[in-house]
Amino acid sequence: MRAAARPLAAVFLGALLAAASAARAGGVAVTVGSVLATDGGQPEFDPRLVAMKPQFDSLFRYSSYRLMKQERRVLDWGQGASFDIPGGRYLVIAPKELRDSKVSMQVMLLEGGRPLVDTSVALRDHGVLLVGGPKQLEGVLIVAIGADTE
Amino acid sequence: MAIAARAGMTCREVEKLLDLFLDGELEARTMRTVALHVTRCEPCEALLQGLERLQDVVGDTIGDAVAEVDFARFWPSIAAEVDGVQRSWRGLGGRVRALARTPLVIAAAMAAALVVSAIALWREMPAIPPPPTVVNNQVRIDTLTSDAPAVALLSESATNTTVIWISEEGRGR
Amino acid sequence: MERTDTELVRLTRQGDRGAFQELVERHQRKVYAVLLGMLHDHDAAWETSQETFIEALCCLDRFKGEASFSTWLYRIAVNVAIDYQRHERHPPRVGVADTTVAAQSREIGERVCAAIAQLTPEHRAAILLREVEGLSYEEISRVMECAKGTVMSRLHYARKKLQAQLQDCL
Repeated sequence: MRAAARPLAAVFLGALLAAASAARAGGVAVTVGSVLATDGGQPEFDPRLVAMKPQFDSLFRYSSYRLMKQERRVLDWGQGASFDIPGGRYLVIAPKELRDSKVSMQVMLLEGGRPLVDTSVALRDHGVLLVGGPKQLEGVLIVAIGADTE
Repeated sequence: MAIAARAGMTCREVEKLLDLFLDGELEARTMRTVALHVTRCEPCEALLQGLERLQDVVGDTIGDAVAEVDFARFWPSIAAEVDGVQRSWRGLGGRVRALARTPLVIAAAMAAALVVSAIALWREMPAIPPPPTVVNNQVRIDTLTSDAPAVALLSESATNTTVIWISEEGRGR
Repeated sequence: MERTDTELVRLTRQGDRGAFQELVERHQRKVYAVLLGMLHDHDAAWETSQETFIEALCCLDRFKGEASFSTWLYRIAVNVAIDYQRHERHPPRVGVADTTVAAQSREIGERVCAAIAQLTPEHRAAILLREVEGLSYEEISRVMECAKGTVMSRLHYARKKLQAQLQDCL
């Protein structure tokens, strides 16, 4: 229950589309999905991740992918927000500006106050950036970060 | 919350912001300042961890209790009442149709229906463009630092999707 | 593709029973969780969840889509819970976690519930909407129809009080 996952159709494409109307007001809709990737056992692909399947198949060699939680927030430019990530981690995202159809933002993945990643990126509008590798249960966590302004 | 960030916040100042920090409600720079303070200050980190544990214990207690509830009975338990409410709507509709015998009422109703349809059509027009059919996840990384033992950048050519991959090998986890 | 809440609300208004069933099944756990946290009793949570959805259906024409459907639903649920307690149709009980298996977690669960029960309904609603449902301050302020600053102080106060009561099990 804590995950407070919003209803979603297909991760990112669907969610970003739904988020768009709010984002049009001047902010940016940021969607964060936490995916558990595991090996061994029956291969499974969470149907909610179908939009990301080609990328996952091409980038990783895990047998199963399950969306653990997804959260979407519309943020104002210059406003930061923290997203809970499984394993007691959290992601701090602060969108800075939209320039040349790219969303500049500061992204910090923290684990107990320790920055696993602290990066400044410019992501294409409607694009998705992946941050992966932290161990989670019997697998690893892949965090998909999407941004959408229109 | 628009609380200005200041470099080198004191523990007392940070303490006041921990609720907002935990909830992601601080402005970006303050968020970052508090995050960095907490990383370096054990007492503040302990306070933050206390708030996180409280969040976990409340969430888990309610979550576990709800997880044990069988919701298969829920809809059947209200379905009859739902039918009753929806029947009353149809009854209301029937009464409106009965009134429509008068020509003036018919004309007025048709005019109203036209207006309502026009509004409905306008409201349902796809104001949001569909997502691009060609996915391009190209990203530019300006700066990247990490406390992890190793970080790698991977990318995929079809959609330019980038992955920042953290390796925790060597941490004994 | 999953239908949006807005689409389901529209269909429900047209008399589509299946659309309302989908809305109920989509939100029943979340509504139940808030009500269970508010009332500390499964029977009361069940009864008030039913009441919440029926009330939502009855006044669906008042849902203007300014807030999300779930925010609107939470607002009804919180009001139903406050009203339920005001009329004290049942004495408040503290036994949410009485069905959990492990004795230790049962004990912690009972203590957490007892601590939540001591909060005022407004503080209780704020903490549940944040910690259980993960709503932002903005969303909580819409549910509770109060300023964001009020949400902030309610959360702060509720957490301080819960921490004081639960300090040896946190």
